[in-house]
Amino acid sequence: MTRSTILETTDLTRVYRRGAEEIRALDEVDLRVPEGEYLRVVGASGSGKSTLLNLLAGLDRPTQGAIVTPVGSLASMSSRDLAAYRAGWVGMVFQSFNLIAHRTALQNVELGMLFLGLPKPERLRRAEAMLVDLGLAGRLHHRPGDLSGGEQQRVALARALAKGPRLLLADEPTGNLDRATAAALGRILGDLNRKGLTIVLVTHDAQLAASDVHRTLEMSYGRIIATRVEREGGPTC
Amino acid sequence: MLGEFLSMAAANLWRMKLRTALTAGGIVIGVGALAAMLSFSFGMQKNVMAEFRSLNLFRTLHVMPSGGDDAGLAFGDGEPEGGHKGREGRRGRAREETSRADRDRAQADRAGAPAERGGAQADSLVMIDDRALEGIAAIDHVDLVYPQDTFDARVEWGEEHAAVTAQALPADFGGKRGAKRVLAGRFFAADSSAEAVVSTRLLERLGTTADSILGDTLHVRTAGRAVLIQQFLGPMLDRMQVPEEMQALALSLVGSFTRSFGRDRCDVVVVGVIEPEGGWGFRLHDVLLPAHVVAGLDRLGFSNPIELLSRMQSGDAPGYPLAVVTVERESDVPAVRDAVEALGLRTFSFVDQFEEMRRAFLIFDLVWAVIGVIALAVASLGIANTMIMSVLERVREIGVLKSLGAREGHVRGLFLVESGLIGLGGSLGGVLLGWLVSRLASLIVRRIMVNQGAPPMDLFHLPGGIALAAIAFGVGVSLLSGLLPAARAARIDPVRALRRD
Repeated sequence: MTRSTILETTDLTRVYRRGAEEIRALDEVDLRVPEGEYLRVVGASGSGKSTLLNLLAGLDRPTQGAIVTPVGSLASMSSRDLAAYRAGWVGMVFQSFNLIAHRTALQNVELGMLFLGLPKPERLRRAEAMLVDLGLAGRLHHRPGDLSGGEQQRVALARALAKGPRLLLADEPTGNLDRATAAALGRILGDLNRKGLTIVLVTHDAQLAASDVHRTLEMSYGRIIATRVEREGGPTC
Repeated sequence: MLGEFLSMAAANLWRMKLRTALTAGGIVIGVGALAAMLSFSFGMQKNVMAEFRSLNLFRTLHVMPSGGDDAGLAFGDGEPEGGHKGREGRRGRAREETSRADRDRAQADRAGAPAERGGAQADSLVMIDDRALEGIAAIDHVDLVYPQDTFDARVEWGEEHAAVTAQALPADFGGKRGAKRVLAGRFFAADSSAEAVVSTRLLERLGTTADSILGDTLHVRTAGRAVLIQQFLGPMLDRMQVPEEMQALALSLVGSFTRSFGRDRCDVVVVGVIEPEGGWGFRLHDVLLPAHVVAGLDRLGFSNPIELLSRMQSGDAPGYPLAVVTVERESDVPAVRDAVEALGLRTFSFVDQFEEMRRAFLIFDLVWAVIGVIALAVASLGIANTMIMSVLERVREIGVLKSLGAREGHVRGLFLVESGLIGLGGSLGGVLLGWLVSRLASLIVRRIMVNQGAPPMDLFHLPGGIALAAIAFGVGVSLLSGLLPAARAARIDPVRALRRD
């Protein structure tokens, strides 16, 4: 299956400077992600996985290189356009969930669509539908402190998905979950990909989504050192 | 988006109720103090304006004789050139003429010749006589004109007596719109009728009522020149130890001489009662008498320093020292003033004096405002501190918002709205506090004034525009205080923010 490219990086580099010291967190990474692919990125801590994800999400800017998406090159986009990219094109899920503690599950998910310009009733409707789809119908008005880890991560996932993104970036989403809950989340992600969502999953859990991912990239010291095709028949560019 | 931010900001502030209340408290006190002080100042202005208006002072002109070496008296120092050119210009020209007169005199002394008085108006004194009054009455928009002809007298009614200031007025004064309403009876019918109108204040002093005195005869004795001389002569002869027979002879001779000054008493029938008004120089006095009845009485010719100064300047020229003119509307004062000055007379208007007073009030307002601003400046530091703490506590939340698509402007706007809401709540509370304090102070002052027998007065007045301005100022100060914290929040790196625990 040949699909359009949803992400392409060329010589992607990110250097952090601490005085005279330079840390090359990402070093000339070339990557192409076709739409509909389930891509897993693995590697030890400090290998550059999260840095790659932050750059792909438009949360950070590369020191060198390009990130091309269907809406433009992220490296040369204005702050305003990058914000619009984050608001509508990409959804993110984090290891620590990053829910806002004083807002309910419904309000957290609704917040994810605030900067899309949708009216509040529409935001609430979509938020409720997404939470129900993820099995949280009875937890709409509970705050994160009242939810389990797995439930919180599902709320975070609902927040990322409710706006209808083309790309889901998940940074160690099961890092704070037990094995069973992690497996359940992995199944949810697999289902989402089968429905057509492009997913880039950063994890150090080799078992997570093992049967669902199309390709695995192994990173070390900021570089892609290996690429494995996990499942035949995945989309290509 | 503003509506969304308002509801988010309100929810955030409500979550930290105590902190919000303490921070807003500074604004409450600052705006409250500003509102209370300004309401006191505006209250005083309002009372003064109301007093001026109730006395028709804004529609009143005082007219005085002019001419001679006119260096300018305390009120109105115009030259009879027509038009109201401005006090400074006229004072300058008067000083020039005085200097020129001094130089002429010095030159004449050196030459051994009598000095001529400098200035063109030295011998052309313009007095306020009956013809001048007719001329003034004929000016457009003049409603009423009457001479301020007052004198000291003693009235006797039955066994009661009182020392009063009596006033001569034309008979048609009572029919003019500007005249005060007669409370009982009527005004005197003609300028030569032996009638009088008395004030309610005199009734109190005589211990009677309108019904009792109307129709009764009032004996009026003047404190004229003859009385003054005799009162002075007797004690002086005593101190000189002149024998009693010689004293009697001297007093008899003086009495023969002073009889030429005129009568020192008249008997009139009380036909009306009137409310006195105002203060020195422009009130209706306790006894009003027809002008022609007063004309034949021996009087000193002045009853207050303004009239004395006028007399001293005009010498022995006949005429009145002062005339009072009321116009139809306040806006007519400048035109009427110019027309009267064109007749060669000098004028004094309370409108000009009130402008001086208004400038003084403005300075007071500015002083109060500065004090209020200082209080608000202190409160603004509290807001800035609270907002900086809020930013530091919500770093991760800011990172989340940015990851969800918030721009730097959104983050900045959210925190500015929060600081603005603190200011709005504090300002509304401050205006309310200022109003409550002023109401309470007013109640206390009114109670004290009533207990002291004074008419109650509202010392505080907060115009709606000033209240709105105070609120707007409080919100403005709060927004300014929130600028730095909001900018700091906007610049937060989302990557670092999302990594925080």
